[in-house]
Amino acid sequence: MTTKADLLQVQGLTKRFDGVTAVNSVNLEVKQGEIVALIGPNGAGKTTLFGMVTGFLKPSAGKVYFRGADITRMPPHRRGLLGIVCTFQKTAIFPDVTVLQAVRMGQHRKTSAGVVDALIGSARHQREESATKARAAEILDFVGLGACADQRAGSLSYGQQRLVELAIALAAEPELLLLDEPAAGLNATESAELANVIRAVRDRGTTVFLVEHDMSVIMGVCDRIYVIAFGEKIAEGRPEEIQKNEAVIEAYLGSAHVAA
Amino acid sequence: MSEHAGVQSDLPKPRIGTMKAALVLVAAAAILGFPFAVDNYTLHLAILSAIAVIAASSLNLVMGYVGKLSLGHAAFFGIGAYTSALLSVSAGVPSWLAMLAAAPVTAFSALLIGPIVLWLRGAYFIIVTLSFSMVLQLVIINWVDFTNGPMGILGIAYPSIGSFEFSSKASYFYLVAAGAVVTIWCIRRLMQSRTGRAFEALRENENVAMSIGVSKLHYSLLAFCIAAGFAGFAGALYAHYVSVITPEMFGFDVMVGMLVMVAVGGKGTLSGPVIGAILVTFVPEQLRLVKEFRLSIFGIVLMLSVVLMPNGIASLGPTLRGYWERWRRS
Repeated sequence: MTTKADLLQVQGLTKRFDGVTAVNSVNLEVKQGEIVALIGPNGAGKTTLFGMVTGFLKPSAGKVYFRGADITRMPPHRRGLLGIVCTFQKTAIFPDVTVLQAVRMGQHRKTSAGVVDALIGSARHQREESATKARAAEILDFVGLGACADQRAGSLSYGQQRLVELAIALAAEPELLLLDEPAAGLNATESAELANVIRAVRDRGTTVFLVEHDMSVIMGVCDRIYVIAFGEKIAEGRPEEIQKNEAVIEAYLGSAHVAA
Repeated sequence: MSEHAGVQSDLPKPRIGTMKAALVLVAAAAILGFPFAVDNYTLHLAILSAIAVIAASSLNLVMGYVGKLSLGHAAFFGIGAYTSALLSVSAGVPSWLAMLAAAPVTAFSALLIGPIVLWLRGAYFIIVTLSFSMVLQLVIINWVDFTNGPMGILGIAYPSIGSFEFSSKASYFYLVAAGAVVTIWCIRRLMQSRTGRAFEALRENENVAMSIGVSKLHYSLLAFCIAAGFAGFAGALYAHYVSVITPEMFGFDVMVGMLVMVAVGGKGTLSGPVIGAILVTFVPEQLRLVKEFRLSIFGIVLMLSVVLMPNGIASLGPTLRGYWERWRRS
């Protein structure tokens, strides 16, 4: 498979809730090694579309492909094992364990020791125990939380908890990292740091697909942007193209957008 | 990477290792010497509390680590007891073999019931697990041909190895103490592994757990079956100790007892259910002096402990250590 192959492909994806069409026949694709953003005004259907990619929502119609394989009906944990790992809009972490332990939990996908391994203390179990500990510490340093390793994850500040969430996802060493509004609630400095982390994640070989509101994060980081409004795709292209796009400006400012 | 970590953790290891070894020796000496230091009645209570330690620790696996409040755990205790009793009394299987069989049979029963109940959330799970044990109790009461109904099963023999029979209280105490130690050791090993982390991930946040690839059904069912296996083992130890079992084993009282042990001791900790089981077995007995007020006083003590220590007695240690460190720094 070439490096520019479509990692994620979404075809005609549609979601209807009791007659309301939240997402209407959207096509998009994310190529290996890209950072792609999905943006749109409030209520555009971003999170709904996202939910169908992560598997937490079942589409009414359309297909989702990962590396060419149909994953439309696959439950979330199976996608997780495949390497499609997501974070959530509302901060979701493992609050009642230490930060280090939380990140170790994230490495489920990359380890394989079972119950018997644990009970007899097999070589695989021992190797994985020390490897996960070291790897978790490394990831915490990477996101800048090295000093918080032994604190209870739920006791950290909001911004730090968002980083813990990211660290848990990174611990799974995802092929495709899905971020739902990662900059929500962060201040300007934290957003800038987040943008750097996202870029570094990509440079380490992980493809990133994110939903975002914060334009400063998007424009500096993304290779390509998809814009949806009222459940339909209205534009796609490079950040500078999107900034000049008439339809996008209209959708965001709401001026004379009566066609829909 | 891992080599680097290995080198680091090697440095402080010897001292901790020596301390641990000393602690294990002291604990072993305490268990070995216990029957010689106490009267028969205390020894009887100690045997019951060691069995309770196994049952409560197994409930803690589901309730404290996976975070599912199961009210059906007494049923597994009962299934283990009946399995072993029926095998040895009705089928003539040697007691020790019947007891060993109780654990896998009970785990298998959990494998059958688990997929039906485990996808339920919150209150629904609690209600259905409770109904499960109530229905099972009715079956045991009414299936007289097989279970001898409300009369229960009598004359369950002590286990024996070769010509040695565990008929003295001291020998049975060693047996159940060994059982409790093995149970705790297994749970400890399990919780410090990939499997244990998957359990805790489900407790902490199901959605995040699924996102990183943890199968909710697989791991909650695994915990459910392992817990049931240990509960069944505890039930077998109980049946062969008291020699008489009745359908009351499946009752609400037994269930609440286990629940209180875990909640008061501290769910989600290794020592919590141990502390809880010993306390719940011994304290009501010490209150016998006050006769009919006994259970009321016990109830008030439980309420106070839950209000004052919502995370259980086991959380007291870390909390006190926190205060001590803060006081020392200031």
